[in-house]
Amino acid sequence: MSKDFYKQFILPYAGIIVKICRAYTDSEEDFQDYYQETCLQLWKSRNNFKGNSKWSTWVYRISLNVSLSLLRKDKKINKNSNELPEISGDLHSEENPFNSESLKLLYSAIKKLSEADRAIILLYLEENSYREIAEITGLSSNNIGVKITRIKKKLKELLDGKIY
Amino acid sequence: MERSIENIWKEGFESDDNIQIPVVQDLYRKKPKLIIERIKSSSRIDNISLVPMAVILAGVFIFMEKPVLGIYVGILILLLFLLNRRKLKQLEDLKLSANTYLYLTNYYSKIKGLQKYYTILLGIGLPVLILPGYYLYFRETLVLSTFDGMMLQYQILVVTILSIVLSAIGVLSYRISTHLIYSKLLTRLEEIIKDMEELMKAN
Repeated sequence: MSKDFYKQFILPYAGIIVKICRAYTDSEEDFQDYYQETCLQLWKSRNNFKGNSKWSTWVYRISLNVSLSLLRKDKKINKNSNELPEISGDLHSEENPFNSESLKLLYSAIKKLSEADRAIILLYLEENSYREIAEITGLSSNNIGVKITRIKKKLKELLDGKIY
Repeated sequence: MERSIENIWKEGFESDDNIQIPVVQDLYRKKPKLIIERIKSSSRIDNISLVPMAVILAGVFIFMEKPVLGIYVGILILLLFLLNRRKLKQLEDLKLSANTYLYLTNYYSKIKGLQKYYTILLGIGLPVLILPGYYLYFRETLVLSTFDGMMLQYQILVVTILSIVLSAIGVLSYRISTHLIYSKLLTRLEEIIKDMEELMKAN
């Protein structure tokens, strides 16, 4: 990977990658692996980007694909080794790197959503349009609004009374 | 008043403190660890399988009323097991240091070194160790008495051809078994090293 590519095409969008990787990982070690793998896949897939959409849309798509694919691999490994992580009901208990307490809680709640719902809400919170969310996730844009309403309701229940 | 999730998100990420971008260098920790663990466990299983093989072959030859040959083959295989264990210990002693890249390249070159070592060992050692086995198997039989009756140059020719064939079988069987057990894992290790080199260029 060239320095130029990293500086021009990854570094300005690193925030997107960080936000997505954080939503799919529970430890710093996993987060760093997911981040690195995403950078690598962006580099490897650069010639597949045809310029029909924004580069940031491409970054979202690759970041989500990498995170979902690694998450599934991790789950498979954990299943095979019978080392399933304990699921805690306490939103405060998870390892979380954010300074803002509210953001910590929000991330913890997001992590309790299904993999697909996590992707949708992350894209929504990043202010992508319904059309862009549909493009990235491959869902129909008509369903996106309904899904977002449902996910927000679920998040509100998870965060009920915890954030002010 | 309760804040909306949109506001929490927006305000949370207003500060750069919450987006700490990792430096893309030597970040891989888990993936290499998993592959190395799989290589280690495959090597252990591969090596342990020599023990029942030694017992079974010894038993078969004893059953065939060739007890000396049975003990000889059994001891040879057990010696190979002990040698493997010693060599694998050297690999296990390599600890995942702070620099994953160096660890992986070191591990990879050690594995390649071991493969070279075993190729030479089997290429030379197999004929040297199996020929006495043949002697033990065929002694007091027509085969050995025919061999004894041959002219010296023919005896040398037979032993040479047999040695070359055994050497080829040893190297070939080692390469095939190594390919079947480790090739996928080693390819993944090579890919990770290559990926890490690519990523390091970005820094």
